Amino acid sequence: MDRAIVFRAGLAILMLAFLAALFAPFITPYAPDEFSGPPLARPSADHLLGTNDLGQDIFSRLIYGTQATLIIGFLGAFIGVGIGTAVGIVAGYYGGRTDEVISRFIDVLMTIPTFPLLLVFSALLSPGIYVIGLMMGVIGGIHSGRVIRSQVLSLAETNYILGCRALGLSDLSIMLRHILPNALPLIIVKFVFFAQSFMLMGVGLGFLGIGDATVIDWGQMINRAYSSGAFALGLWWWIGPPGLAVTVLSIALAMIGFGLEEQLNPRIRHRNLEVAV
Amino acid sequence: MKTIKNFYFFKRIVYCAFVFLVSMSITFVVLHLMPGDFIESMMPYLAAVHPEFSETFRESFGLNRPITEQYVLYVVNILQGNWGYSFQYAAPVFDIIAEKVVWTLIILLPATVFSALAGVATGAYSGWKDGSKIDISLLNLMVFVGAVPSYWWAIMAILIFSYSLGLFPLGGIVGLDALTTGIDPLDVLHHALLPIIVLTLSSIPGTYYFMRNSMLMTLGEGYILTARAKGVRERDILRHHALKNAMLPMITIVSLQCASMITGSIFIETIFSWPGLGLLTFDALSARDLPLLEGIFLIDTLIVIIANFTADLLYSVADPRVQVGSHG
Amino acid sequence: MNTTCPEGLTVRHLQVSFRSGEETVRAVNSVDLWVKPGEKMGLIGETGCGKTVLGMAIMRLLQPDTLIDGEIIHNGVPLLEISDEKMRRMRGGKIAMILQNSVTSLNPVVTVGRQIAEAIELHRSLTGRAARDEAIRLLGEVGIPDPEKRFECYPHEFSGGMNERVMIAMALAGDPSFLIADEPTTGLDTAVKNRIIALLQDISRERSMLFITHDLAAAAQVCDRIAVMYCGEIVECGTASEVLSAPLHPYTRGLLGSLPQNGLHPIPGMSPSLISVPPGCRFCDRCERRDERCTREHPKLTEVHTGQYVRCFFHD
Repeated sequence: MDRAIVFRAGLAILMLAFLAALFAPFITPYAPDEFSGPPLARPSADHLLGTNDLGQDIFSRLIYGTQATLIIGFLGAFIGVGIGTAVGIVAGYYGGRTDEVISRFIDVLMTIPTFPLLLVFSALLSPGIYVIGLMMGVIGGIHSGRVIRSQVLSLAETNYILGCRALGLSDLSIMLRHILPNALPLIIVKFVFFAQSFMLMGVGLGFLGIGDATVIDWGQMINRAYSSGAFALGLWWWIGPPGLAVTVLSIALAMIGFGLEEQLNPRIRHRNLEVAV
Repeated sequence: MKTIKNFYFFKRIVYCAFVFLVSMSITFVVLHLMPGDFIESMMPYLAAVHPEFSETFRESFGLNRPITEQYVLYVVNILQGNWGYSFQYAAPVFDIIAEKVVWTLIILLPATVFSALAGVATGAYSGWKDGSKIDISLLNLMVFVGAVPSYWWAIMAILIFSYSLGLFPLGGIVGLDALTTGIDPLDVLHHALLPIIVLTLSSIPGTYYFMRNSMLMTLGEGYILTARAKGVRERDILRHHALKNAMLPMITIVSLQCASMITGSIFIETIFSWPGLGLLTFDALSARDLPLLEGIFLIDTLIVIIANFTADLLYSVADPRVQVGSHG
Repeated sequence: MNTTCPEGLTVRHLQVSFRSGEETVRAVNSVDLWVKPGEKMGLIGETGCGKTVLGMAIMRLLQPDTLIDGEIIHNGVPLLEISDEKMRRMRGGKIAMILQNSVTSLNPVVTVGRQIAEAIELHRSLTGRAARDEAIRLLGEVGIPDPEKRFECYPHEFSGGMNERVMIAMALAGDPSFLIADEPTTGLDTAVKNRIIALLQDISRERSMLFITHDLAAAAQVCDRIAVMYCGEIVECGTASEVLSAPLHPYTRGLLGSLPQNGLHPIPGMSPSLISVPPGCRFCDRCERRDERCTREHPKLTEVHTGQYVRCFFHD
């Protein structure tokens, strides 16, 4: 499989999802909450993916659901990368005591299972999609802070950075203008993978019944199907599409992420040249 | 040497205790963030029906005392096994969880073992044959499998194998016959098979990826060249030099995978109606049963801590370089 | 060099190139070398000159996609032509290499004794108890105190000098007739260095050795003959005393001049990149004595006196 083709395919799928989310009102045959047909109808020309127990068109709901999924994924990714970068750069650049304290803190938090914690907070706060995105971002930020810190640590030791300090540049300007750009490839890759896992988690949370009930969410669609016994009845057109949709998006983002990683972090070294001493 | 190793473990145990303390502190804070009166919200039914429970509860958790005393009492209670009461079941959280843990372990432990074996084997092979067609195919396959969420595997498994093909039951731990004929272990196994397979599958890509990387790094080390220079056969290099070193970091990785499988099991148990901690979590969420959810969070933390500690133990036995203070 | 040597090691017109992306790097350029049985040949040069690559090529330890051309003959056996399996059996047996950097060249999770015993079992048809006893004997022979106890030690429990001795023991395990020692004294402090040099002198009494190093003093003590390598080529070759006291090539003179005891005069400039090699003499940019011919024409290695060779237009 050619990496470039795979990468572009992933990008194309992602674009499609964004377009679907943006233009939902124009491409869906029915309004998502409209009781447009008989309940539990199989897919037909009228209803491409059939209807749910309330007679709502599943295809339309699927398209509208793209919005929530993308928002949770990308909002979470932005916050996660933002926090992770800030924490990672500060810890890696200053080193010493600051780094020790921050790293210990991250270590302990990483041991604690974050998803169950997320559930506890969700039960307490009954969050909407933005708060969910925020929570995942904070947790993800802490995890990524570690990786970014490692990279920054090795950068901060380089003669290049020491030279900047010798020139009298302020810490802040060094961090922003010299370290940040070098850490950017790692940050971008992290962003893509965050978007991927947060989208999956977002739908997962919806399936567990968490989220704003007024917002159409793929996870909640599956949850409704589950609670109505659709699994036992084999109503695949109700259960299937949301899960399939998020899986496809996840695969698309994985393809983008791995493609980027290959480009931005060339790890293929010719072993012989290292030997030539 | 013995005392040095003992000191090392003492440090690890202290660390584990600290992590658990942090978890308890988090649950304590969340409990107090709940709106309304603590007791009233904690157990409305209990308070109304059994007012004397209410009183003993107030006493043991010290709800009439200052917050620092409450914290201490809370920690002491948790350590003694008094984890509060569940809204839904009107029963002690600890007892409810204790009942369900076994069922989760029945699918979690085999899944950990199988995914570790499969992940390590494929990852090692992939790393050993780096760049070959098999390696590239495996890598692409694992990226694909890893991108699929565990709930989708579960949904597909149930729709295809249980519903369409009828090969496996639609859920639960036993069929309805159990009511009359009693629980047949084979039947339980039949019911457990799909959940275990799905749980294993969702964990293999991660293990594979790390093992492959570990193998690649190991193969770049000087002692592999030394072994070649000595004229060691390729398969002996793989066994005695490459694998022995590449597998060491996997001890930690497998314990991390175990931790992430706890999350996966929430979805998988729910979809397969498997009555373990995962399904309990789902039900607790639906009812917004905070004490129960917190109890589940604590047991999850405990499982992770135990998994990490076991990994540390194994590491210290397997790696001769592990000494005092080093993190393995 | 036209001498054919049925005994000992003969390297003829050896070229080793690596492909890195679109570029080809010629690490070893048409090298001719011969080491007579029992002779110790030093291979001196700076980092990156190709001396380690040469050693690895003799052992056929380079990556399968390396481009190798030429001949390497040991005691009549053409090493580059025999099968992989045959070569594997020679490695560590008839020809052994002491690799660079003992600290990273030893398996950290296997005992030192086991690593030596592994080589013994492969080449001496001894197993189990017998192999262990022989390994203990070897540990003693290379100067490790209390070898019976040290058999069970791991590399991280040893100092740099002791690990170097273990590497030597592993190389001796198969009773080789030809040894390649790659930088055995690098990274060791002076006292340890001298003891390792003494050990090398000891073990190479009945064996031939290719001693790869950038430490001129060590080479002086151990070697009978010395070849100087620059930029993938041999630029001078002769007896140790000839090369070190009356060097013919400007590079060799520069190397000697840069020693602390001679005033620490560094050679100006940097060695050219092996990717884009200049035409003509590879040293001419840094040479104090060059003329127009040096930039145009590539000098050949010529025999000036018997056994003394130099690659320079100004040899006298």
